[in-house]
Amino acid sequence: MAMEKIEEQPPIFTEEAEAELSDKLKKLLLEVIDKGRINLEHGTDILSETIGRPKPIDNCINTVCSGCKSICGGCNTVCSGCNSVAGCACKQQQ
Amino acid sequence: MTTGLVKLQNIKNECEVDNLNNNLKASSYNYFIRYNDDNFFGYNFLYKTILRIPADAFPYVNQFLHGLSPKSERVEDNSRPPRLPSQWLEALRQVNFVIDKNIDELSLIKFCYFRNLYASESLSLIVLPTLWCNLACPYCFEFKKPISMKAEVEDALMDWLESNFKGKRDIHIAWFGGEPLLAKRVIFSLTKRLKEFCNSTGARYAASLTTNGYFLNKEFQDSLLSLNIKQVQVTLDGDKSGHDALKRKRNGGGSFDRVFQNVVTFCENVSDSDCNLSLRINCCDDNYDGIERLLDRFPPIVRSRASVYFRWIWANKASDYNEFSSSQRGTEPFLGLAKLYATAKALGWRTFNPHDHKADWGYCEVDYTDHYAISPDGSVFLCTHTFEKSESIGCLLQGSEIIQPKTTSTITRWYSANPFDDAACMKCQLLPICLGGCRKTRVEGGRSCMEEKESLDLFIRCLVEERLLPVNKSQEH
Repeated sequence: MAMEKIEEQPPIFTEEAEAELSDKLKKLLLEVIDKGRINLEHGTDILSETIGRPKPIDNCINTVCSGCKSICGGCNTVCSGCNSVAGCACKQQQ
Repeated sequence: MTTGLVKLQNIKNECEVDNLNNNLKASSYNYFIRYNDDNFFGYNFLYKTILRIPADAFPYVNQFLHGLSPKSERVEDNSRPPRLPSQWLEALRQVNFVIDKNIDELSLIKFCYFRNLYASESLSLIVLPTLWCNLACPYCFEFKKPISMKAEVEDALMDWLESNFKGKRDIHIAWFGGEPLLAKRVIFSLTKRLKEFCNSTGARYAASLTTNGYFLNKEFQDSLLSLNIKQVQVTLDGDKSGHDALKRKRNGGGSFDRVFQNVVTFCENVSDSDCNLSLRINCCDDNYDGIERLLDRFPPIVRSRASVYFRWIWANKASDYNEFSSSQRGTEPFLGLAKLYATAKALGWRTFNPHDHKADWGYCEVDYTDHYAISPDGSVFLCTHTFEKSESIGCLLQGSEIIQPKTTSTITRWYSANPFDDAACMKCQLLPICLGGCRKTRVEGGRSCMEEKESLDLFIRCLVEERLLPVNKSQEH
């Protein structure tokens, strides 16, 4: 069976878009509000203890880690973002 | 010379950026809403990341992501990704809206789902000290019986743990009912033994409590710490008139005033760091209009201390499939709930949506092996919605054969059910947070989709505002 050819897409940049970006938009910033639950840049992240155990308690209020703005990994776990328990909203870490 | 070197350096950097872009693709789980005139927000259902994008920048970001999509998914075949400022690209990568081309997101979801399902370090039990309740809510999904857990069942439970679960790292008990606080003796007695067991094995012990709040008096609140109860949920059925019409005492009186006072006392008496309090507001046609009054009735200490969420009352077998909320639910069920979330936030409440805040990889607590529900007579179930004797997988009073061999196929079918065999789920953008929905429904051949699915813009708006709220609060002080 023939392998499907992966399409290469060299990014292009229209002159108008370039001009607009340079003059106006480059000053704007995209703001990361929440870094979420998986850090793909750390290859071992999904293999770590932060997934699959332990079970957060019922209705655990997994809010955002105050340290790194990642979602808290649940009660008794460390934050999957900064590996800290400091921001656990559930106060289950003791 | 210097100018030439700079130009060469720029060309090199641009080539690097081009090569980088060729190795990127857009995540399949990005979702964008226009929040106001100035901002769009993006949410990713898989990574649960949130990004604020200035409105003027959004068309470029959108075009960029569109250009990175597979050709078959593009509206215009000749669209190509424009080059973005490096800090924009960095932000898009930080929130995984843009990911490496070789990442297979479906296999990532499957891996996390099954890793969670078959994790073996924890034991989670829902224990019903009684199947009786002091209230007679007409919509209750349980078949109530005036029975409480006897000492012989407690003994059998501890024997079962001794024989089978000494290697667990964490043990969690969810006290449920009936109304569990009708059987406080069982809670105190079992907690003492469970803590001793965990001390002997080195496991961590924690508990939660779901209650109607009527017996959650100060005396019991003072015991929460020693009982290791870290999470309490109280259910309210609207403001006083709505609540008292539904949550009637068996002798006919209403229960609102006492529950309300217990919630206020809880917030004054129990430290946030010792125990969370969540309020589940059951909504239906008859109480919907009064819920704003309920939210407004609570003093500021409750609004800032407790968290609140809203759910429609649903029809079920035990209540003869009576509908309580069909008019207000309508065809877009989350619409009515979203209005309540907005009202609650405006009144200074902390809100949460259970579909988002569970950072684990199951739809509910039953999506996890070594999770059992124990009824007062010692019957063992896989789910709190299966309390008919015929659905029991075993009984603690049966000696060494707790889990009956004849139920093996029930158990294996239960844990084999998954959304990855369902073509509609595999295509659904909500798969990473829904994870197939209710396991019992799926085992029975159905599929339960989230109510939020029909109102994604509203759902994402709610999530964004929940994340932004703590920031706003801290800025205020």
